[in-house]
Amino acid sequence: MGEKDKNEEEFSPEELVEAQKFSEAMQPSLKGARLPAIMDAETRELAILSSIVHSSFHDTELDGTKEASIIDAAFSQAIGISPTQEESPSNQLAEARSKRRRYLRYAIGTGVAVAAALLLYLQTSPKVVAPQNAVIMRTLPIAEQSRPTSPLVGQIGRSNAAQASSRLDTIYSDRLSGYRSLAYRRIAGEPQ
Amino acid sequence: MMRLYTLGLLTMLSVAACQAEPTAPPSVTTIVDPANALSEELMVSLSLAKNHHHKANIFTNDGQLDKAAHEVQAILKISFPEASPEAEDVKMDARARLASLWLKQGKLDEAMQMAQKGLSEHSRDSFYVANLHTVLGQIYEAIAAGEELGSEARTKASLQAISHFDTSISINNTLLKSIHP
Repeated sequence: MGEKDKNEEEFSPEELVEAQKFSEAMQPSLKGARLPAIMDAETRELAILSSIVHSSFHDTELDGTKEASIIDAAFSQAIGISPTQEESPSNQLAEARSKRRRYLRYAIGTGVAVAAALLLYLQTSPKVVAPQNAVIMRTLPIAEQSRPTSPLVGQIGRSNAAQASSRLDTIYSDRLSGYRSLAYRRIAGEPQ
Repeated sequence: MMRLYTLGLLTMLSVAACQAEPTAPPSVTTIVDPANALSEELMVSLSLAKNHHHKANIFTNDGQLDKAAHEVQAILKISFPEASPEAEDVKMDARARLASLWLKQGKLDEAMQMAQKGLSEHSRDSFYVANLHTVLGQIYEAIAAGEELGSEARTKASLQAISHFDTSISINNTLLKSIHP
């Protein structure tokens, strides 16, 4: 202990003056300022070492500007924005997020609309099939059909060979009856 | 910007909805009558033929056989529905009546041509075809009875007449059996 004190007493006045100067030079740096640009290597190492020793024994708080500057730099690096831009990185980040949100909204809206349009088209496409119009052939009673008249007029003998007019009267009367029946059923809409 | 985007989306959905609506017409069930149904056209044709026959009756009763024949000829010009069985029968009967009228007038050649034309056009046997054979037999009978022909020609005409009468009888018998089995 006594030997240590003896060694401490060995500092020369020049050394003390130099230490005092170094201490004064380090004050701004310890408060967060940058180190002077021009500095010999030995002094820079000593300055860094003293900063580490100082920060180990003292709670150093950065002022607001410095803190914001460090956070902005970190965000800038994260989102790839140049720190030289005028707007602050935090604002840029917020804007970027807002843009992303807006584009995302458009993209989701477009996707939903396309999906809905596709669904409508695909769902209804099979319905566009030409309908087959059904044609049902009506079955008619024999009396309503056009047919040979021989069974109606019977055999034409010599005695009635000249009575073509009478035969045609019979045919017309019979066919008119059948046609009237058919016409009435058509009017009534009876499908038979 | 947002309005344009919304408008665009609505337009796209509207177009899709419009295209998606079925464009095909609704199916229709149609009930149709068979081709052999009695038709108005057939009834009109039959009515026309009936009227011409009645006019021919009046002219015949009045002794105006030319006018009667003219009325019967008008029946042959009537447009009946195609392939109508009644049309064939009515025209066959008109030919037989016309041939008979000309036979009465002594127009044997015209009468024979008319009867033969009727027989060449028939599609099935009927009492009208049998009657035409009868009329043709009568025409040959008249030819055979003529004095201007030689005996050989008269014999030949007689044989023709018999042949047509036999054909008529045969057709009649066959038809009667089919109608009244």
